[in-house]
Amino acid sequence: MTTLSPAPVPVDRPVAASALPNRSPMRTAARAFFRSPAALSALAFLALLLFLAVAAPLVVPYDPAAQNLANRFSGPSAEHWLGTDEFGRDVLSRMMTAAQIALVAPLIAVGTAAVIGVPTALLAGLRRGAIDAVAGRLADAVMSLPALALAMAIIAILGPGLVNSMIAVGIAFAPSLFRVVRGAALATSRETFMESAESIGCTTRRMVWVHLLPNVAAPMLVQVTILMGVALLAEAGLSFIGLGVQPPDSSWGSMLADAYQNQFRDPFGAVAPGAALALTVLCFNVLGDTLRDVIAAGRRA
Amino acid sequence: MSLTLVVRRLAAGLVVLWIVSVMTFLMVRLIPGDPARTVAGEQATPELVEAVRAQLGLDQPLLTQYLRWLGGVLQGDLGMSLTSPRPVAQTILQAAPATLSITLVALVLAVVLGVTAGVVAGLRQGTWIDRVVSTLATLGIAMPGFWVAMLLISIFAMKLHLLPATGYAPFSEDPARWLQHVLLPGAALALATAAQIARQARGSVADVLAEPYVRTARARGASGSVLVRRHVLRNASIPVITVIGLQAGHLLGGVIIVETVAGMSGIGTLALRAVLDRDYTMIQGYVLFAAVVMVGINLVVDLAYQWVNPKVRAA
Repeated sequence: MTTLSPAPVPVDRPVAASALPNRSPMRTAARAFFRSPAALSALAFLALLLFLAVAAPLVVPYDPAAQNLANRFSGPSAEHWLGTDEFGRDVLSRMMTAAQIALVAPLIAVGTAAVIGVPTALLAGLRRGAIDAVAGRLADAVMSLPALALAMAIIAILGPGLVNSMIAVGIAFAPSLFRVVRGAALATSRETFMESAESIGCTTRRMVWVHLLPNVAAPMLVQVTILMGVALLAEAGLSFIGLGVQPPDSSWGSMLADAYQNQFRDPFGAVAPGAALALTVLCFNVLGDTLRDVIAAGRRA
Repeated sequence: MSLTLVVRRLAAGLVVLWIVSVMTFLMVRLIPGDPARTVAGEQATPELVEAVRAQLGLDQPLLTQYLRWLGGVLQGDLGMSLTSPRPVAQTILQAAPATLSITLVALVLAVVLGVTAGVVAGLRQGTWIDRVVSTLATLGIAMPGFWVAMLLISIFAMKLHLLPATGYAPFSEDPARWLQHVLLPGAALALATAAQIARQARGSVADVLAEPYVRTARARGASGSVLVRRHVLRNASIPVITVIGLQAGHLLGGVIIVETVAGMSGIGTLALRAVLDRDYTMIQGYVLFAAVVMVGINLVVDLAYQWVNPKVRAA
């Protein structure tokens, strides 16, 4: 089941030339994906975040750091759509600026998990033996701890901060990525084309890059997408308790911490940052679920 | 369920705990700074620092240190906190009830709500109930638990004054007040897990309903509650139990932040202070404690799994 080779044409059934490209699993999956309104909406929202991450300084209505102590906790108004905070700063502008962290933080975590988990998993799935046994036991041990507890212990070593805390989360997430990729690599390594590649003297590096990686890419992509959402939730939690993003920077998680401090004066200050978090995680999950479904459908086609 | 099986699962759990103990022990040695100096204080003379080092056993080889620590752990002694003159084990046990209460209430709520909603949705596929459950589940998974806790507390405690906003009352002193305190944080923590369980339960009920043996049972005349209880629920429960086990880590991690929102000083507060102070004996104790609770929950889940699924009983 490879996505690289052209789909086999059954000889006993005449096939119109134009129908041929559609039978590739990748195309079937892509077509199904772009026919899903939920997935397209999720993609559009994430694209908006990406735009804000790059262009927020140019499009924010106010300077996110500008204080106006005469206008604190103003509540939503025509001038300030989401109101102002304890220092009279514009909440909408602060949220738009924090979109950058909402994308960068999960990328650091998932990137760390991928750097640790993926090469180990490919080798473990391909070569099995001692690498597989040791990596497997280690993954079991790491997964027997709550991810957030392990992340906190690692933050004790690295020190608090956005990058450090997200590396810690990435280390805690590595086993789940390892398991998914190892499973796919193990299944692929038993395919006939892998045997043929080995028998004609392919190097391990070539086997991994040309034959293994394209075949584990689909399940890996699904897991990475889901982990992005989980990592954003971890960032919010760690920033909420002060181990993540440090002032003067702020993320939606640290904005929730500010809202918590001021909950008696402004009981609904927590609504906007929390809703932004939930919506972003929702988009990653919808994207991941749709990818899983369309990839499965592509394989059946 | 045979006794040997329970023993074997217990042994597997102990092996995992042993690996975690080695991992934790080596990991905390990576924490920057000199623990002997932390204990002795900033103004201590070099001689005093060396004396403290010898007293803590930090001048011994790593293996000796590990064996000494492990020996202590087996007797329930996790060492002294570096920043306060208190034993780690005692500090953790004092903070544990609040944290574990929230976790337990969340687990019970999540299983009851998640299984009920998921099974109903699975039996009524395509109806409005199914769509409502699926939508709520997708939303529930995406919401940060501590944010839900903030919203629930601001609505039910601060606006409507139905329940206390912060604090904790021990179960042994007043069970009713205990429940009032842990209900909101427990419900907030439960939401995402309930959503995961509901999705899994809906999916497995749908899968089982499509199985030939359900068709056979229907053909034999089984219907209604008999069909659901004897054929559908029993088989659909297997993947659901697996998800519950996987969610244990999510609950034990999430509770750290939820308890902060609920103003309870439990394990999370302790761990946060330890991380900021680089109190490595406390971090060591906390990680080990979390691992023991996780392995315990997974042992129960594992045994439930064997009990429900005769196919793996022999394995």
